[in-house]
Amino acid sequence: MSDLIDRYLGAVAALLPKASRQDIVAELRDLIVNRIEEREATLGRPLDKREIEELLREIGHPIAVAGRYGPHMALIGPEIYPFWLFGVKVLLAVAALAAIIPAGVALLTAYGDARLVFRTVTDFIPTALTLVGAATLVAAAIERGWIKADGFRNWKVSELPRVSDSKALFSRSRFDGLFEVVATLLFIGWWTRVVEFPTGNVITTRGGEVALTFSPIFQTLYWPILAMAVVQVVSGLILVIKPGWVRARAGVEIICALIGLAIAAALWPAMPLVTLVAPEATTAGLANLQRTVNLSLQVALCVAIAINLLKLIVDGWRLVRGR
Amino acid sequence: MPTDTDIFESLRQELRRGTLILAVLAQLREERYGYSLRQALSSVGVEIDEGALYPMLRRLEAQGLLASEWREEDKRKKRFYQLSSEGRAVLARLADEWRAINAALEPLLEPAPSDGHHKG
Repeated sequence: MSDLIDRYLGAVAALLPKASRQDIVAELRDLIVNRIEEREATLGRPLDKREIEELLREIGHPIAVAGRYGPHMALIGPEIYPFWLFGVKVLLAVAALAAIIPAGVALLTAYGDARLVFRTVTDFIPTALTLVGAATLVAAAIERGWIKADGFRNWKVSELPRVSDSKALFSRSRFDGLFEVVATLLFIGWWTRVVEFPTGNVITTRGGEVALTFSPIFQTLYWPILAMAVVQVVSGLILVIKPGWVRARAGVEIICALIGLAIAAALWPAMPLVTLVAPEATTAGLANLQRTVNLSLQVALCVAIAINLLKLIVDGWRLVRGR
Repeated sequence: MPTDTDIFESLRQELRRGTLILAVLAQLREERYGYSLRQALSSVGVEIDEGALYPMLRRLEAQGLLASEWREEDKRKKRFYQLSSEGRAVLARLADEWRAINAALEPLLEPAPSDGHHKG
């Protein structure tokens, strides 16, 4: 009998803090002996080995029993948990967008190369796990007061997003803002050559590979384009973090639209913006493709100009009204 | 999906959690060791799992509400617990709180008057 109790108490003791171990084990031993005596008195005979084992099982698994003596603190408590959950959803969306956007680009430009898409998608899993792990560490640190997070208490109703008609012109949700931030950050990474473009400067088509050479105007406009992207990220971040800051976002959007219009004005006379080289293509075929690309870029530039003009009007109106 | 019984059981546990501390503190106006405390509670109809009781006693002691000492009884060393002076003060305040809650809830828990208020 005592061998079973010793083994049980030994397993519990191994999990207890050293300072209180002896004390708790002595008390548990007393509890177990009392229980055994009580049961033996009821049955009118000593308990056998199987019955003692059953009694110890009733007291609980050593890990559970030792755990009850530990500090009663959840890794993330009920007050922080909803914020952790919201943060994890946002981070998973960021990880998903960061994987899906390059995968989409690869799908469009790397005809038939499924490995590229597969590789980009599998990048999502370690990124997501790392982000969720980081969020959990931060939330646990906040729970323990190691990181002060008074922002959870000092929030303002006026900074919450307005309830508006979702079909309103240029109405944007927080998710749109998040998409904008991730997509633009990926663009910035690619533009500054921190991140490699999924397919380099080569597009794979049904007719073979086509190499792209960009016009030198892009070198000239390197900083303005980078500035526009950074401003766009700021605008997206305002929408995600402080959706109530309508005027601030409208102001940033107006700056972005003005830079966009200036860039479009500089690009228009510099056509063709992209020159194609395809050694496997016929001269006529290549010329035809080049014409199509030029026309597409001209149309895209016209659309960009129209959108930026419209943004100037809409965001100007928002800047005045504040809503 | 939780059944009605599961839901009831979880709500019952939640309701009991705070009242158990009150019962333990009240029983420890007199000195007792863990096992005798559980028996005393059981005799007045308050059942408590030992697995929860012993850690609870240690927490209450760490909070300064209980005092304890090891003594020999029936040829075995036992740890005896009793309310500290701080514990007595806290128990008095908690008891007032309990009575106030009880007084507020009791009329609410009265069966609703029969259909007299319903229209036609």
